[in-house]
Amino acid sequence: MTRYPNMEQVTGDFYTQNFEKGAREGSLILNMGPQHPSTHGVLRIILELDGEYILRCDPVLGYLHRMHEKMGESKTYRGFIPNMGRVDYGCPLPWNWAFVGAVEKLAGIEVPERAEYIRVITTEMNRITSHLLWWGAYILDLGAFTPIMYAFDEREWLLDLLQTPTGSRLTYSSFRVGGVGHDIDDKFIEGLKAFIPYFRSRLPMYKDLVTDNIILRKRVEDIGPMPLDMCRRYGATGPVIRGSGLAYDIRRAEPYGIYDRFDFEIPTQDTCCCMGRYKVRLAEFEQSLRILEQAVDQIPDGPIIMDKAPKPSWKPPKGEVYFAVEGARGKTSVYLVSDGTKSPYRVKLRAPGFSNLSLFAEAAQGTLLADAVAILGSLDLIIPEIDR
Amino acid sequence: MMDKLFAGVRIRCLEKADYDKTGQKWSVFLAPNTLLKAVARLNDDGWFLEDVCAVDSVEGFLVLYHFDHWQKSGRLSLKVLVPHDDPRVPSISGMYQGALWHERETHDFHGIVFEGHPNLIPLLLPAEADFHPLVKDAKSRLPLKDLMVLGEVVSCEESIQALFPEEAEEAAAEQGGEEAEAEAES
Amino acid sequence: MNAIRKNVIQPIIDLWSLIVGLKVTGKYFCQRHVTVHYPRKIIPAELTDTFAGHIELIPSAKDPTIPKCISCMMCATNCPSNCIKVLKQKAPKVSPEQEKEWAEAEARGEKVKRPKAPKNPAKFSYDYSLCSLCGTCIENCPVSSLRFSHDIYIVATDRKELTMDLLARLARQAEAQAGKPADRAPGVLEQAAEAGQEASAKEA
Repeated sequence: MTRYPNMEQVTGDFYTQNFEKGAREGSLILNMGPQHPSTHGVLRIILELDGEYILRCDPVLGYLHRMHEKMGESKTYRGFIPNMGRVDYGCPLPWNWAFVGAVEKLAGIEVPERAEYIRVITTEMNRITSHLLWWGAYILDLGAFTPIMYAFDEREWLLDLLQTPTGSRLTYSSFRVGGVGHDIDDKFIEGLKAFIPYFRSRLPMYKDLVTDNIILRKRVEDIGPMPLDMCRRYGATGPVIRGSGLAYDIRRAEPYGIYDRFDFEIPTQDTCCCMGRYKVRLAEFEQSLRILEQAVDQIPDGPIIMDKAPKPSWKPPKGEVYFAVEGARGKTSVYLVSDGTKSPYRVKLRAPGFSNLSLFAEAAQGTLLADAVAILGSLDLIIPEIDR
Repeated sequence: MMDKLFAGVRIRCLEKADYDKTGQKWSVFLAPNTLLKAVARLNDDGWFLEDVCAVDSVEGFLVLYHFDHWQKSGRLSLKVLVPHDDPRVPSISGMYQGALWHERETHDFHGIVFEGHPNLIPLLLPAEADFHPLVKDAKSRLPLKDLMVLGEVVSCEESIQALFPEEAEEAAAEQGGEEAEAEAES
Repeated sequence: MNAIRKNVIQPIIDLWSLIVGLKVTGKYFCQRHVTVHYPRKIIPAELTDTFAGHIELIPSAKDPTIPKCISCMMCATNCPSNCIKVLKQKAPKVSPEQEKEWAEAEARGEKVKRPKAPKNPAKFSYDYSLCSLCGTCIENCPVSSLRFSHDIYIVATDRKELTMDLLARLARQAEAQAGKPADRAPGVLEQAAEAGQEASAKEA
């Protein structure tokens, strides 16, 4: 027996049944994705079009669903950390941090100084690599092929560096409850110190090549307005809300780790359009570099993991805990309920992309189809994170 | 501050949670029929929705709504306890459109019916799935008192107080009660 | 004036932005390319040294073919993906006469030293297709007998090829090491060739 008794009566696609009911006379229902180059993986969007204008649209999710929350209930706390590397491949370290942070908060664990610095350094590097990937891919969505090559030049350098403390190039899972798994060495610090001025010198080139380019500006300026009230109703966070003029950043609003020690700004743009979100992310490069510079100078020697760090069979105390961090896409948080056994009772993963994408249907209403692609890209979607 | 915000709304239990331990500042137990009224107050006060999820327990499904505020720091969670055999909660998607997907997801995972939701079809699971993956079997369900503690209770109905027998007494007796209990547990 | 600005000056500024962009691409077009054309070129070894590939056994100081492993099963029990299988060695077989002699000696009240099973494992198999490279086995090994290999060139055409016999791998590594001057560790290409041999050996 299925949950939906009327399922047999649905003609055509199950997921579009309610969408089709509201279709207007003479409009066209178009299916975009799930294998569409501009939907970044396997997102599917059903659109109702009048000519080239979008009357309504509705994203269909679930093509990459892996049920991480169920896996969390059957794995040990240590065994679930690799999953955190695979929720969001673009920026996995904030997910690592959200999970181990939640467990540490629950158990009242203190993390050694050096581990805190390594966490900040690797997470900020990860934020840069994620924004670089977004930058290249977004311009690619809009039809320019060259910039992704430049973005990957820098990204590769950072990935080579990040390989030292994480051991991998994409699905990092190097955080541990009570510290981090691998230390960084002098060679890493040297490499990072060389990277920072180099990357800074490249940013004007980005501006010349892309940001000032009239073709890009015509495609993104004043497209996809997302006023603050709309962002609030949908729970949008991250660069999306900062692109609408609100300086809301978890690193400042709800400081975690040692972020209160660093001097950095929260870039905002109050144009509310795709260009605003674009400029916020580009400005975040500079802020991440600033944090990196300070962290590299301040990093102390010492242990990288607490004494008697939790073993795989470790049991935390009972209780519930909510822990949020600022990922590259916004508020990344984990809600954890522990019953005092080896594995969590309930893990809820709050993906920023999930809330950000739910805003798309309203933002894209009434725009041209080509502009909808620009709006979609400006949300910085990573589908595995949305589907979890 | 919360008393003023929820003035006139019937609250089953209002408690100040321990932020350093739970990451939440306020936690509010509500009955399903007063949920919309409480959410409307939050909406007027400028709170935004973080997520909606549910926890399966012996007493029923505990549906959780996490709210946060841009200016005021602090997390507020609304908790609605619904029975296993008829899990119905009104949909808050009229005020917070972001809840549309969160509610569909919770419907997928726990089978909770959000009344008034315009499109309550599966979001993440396939249409053929005739199960709710996060519903636990009766054996592995645990009572709420084993999963969470009541913090500093501001006001509480007896029915909720009864769910947290020892914790409530201890919390009233002394503030560090829950830590002592956690230690005793380990 | 506004019309001139809008229809003449602004388009010129806009066009100029395109020329600036072309200048950037032109500049980089004349520079050396930055990509590594595999397999004509490979990336320097220092970049593969930090890469955490599949796990491998560390040889003991005495014999390079025998791992430090003491078959304690910590890795196999703690692995979240159950991808490690360790088989303990059995105690050596004893002839019936010897057994009888020992029994008599014990009856006399003497202490008998029966041979114990060697600690090193009889079999250590590892399924790379399941492994998520979390490192739990490495962190929990009491004698540090496991480490990540740095093999980035691993290729397989079949899922079965990813199930590795790590003891055989250790023996091959020891053999390769013995045939070469001691100061030179096997390079990435040798390792790649080795992986190829392993695959062809399996086919045969």
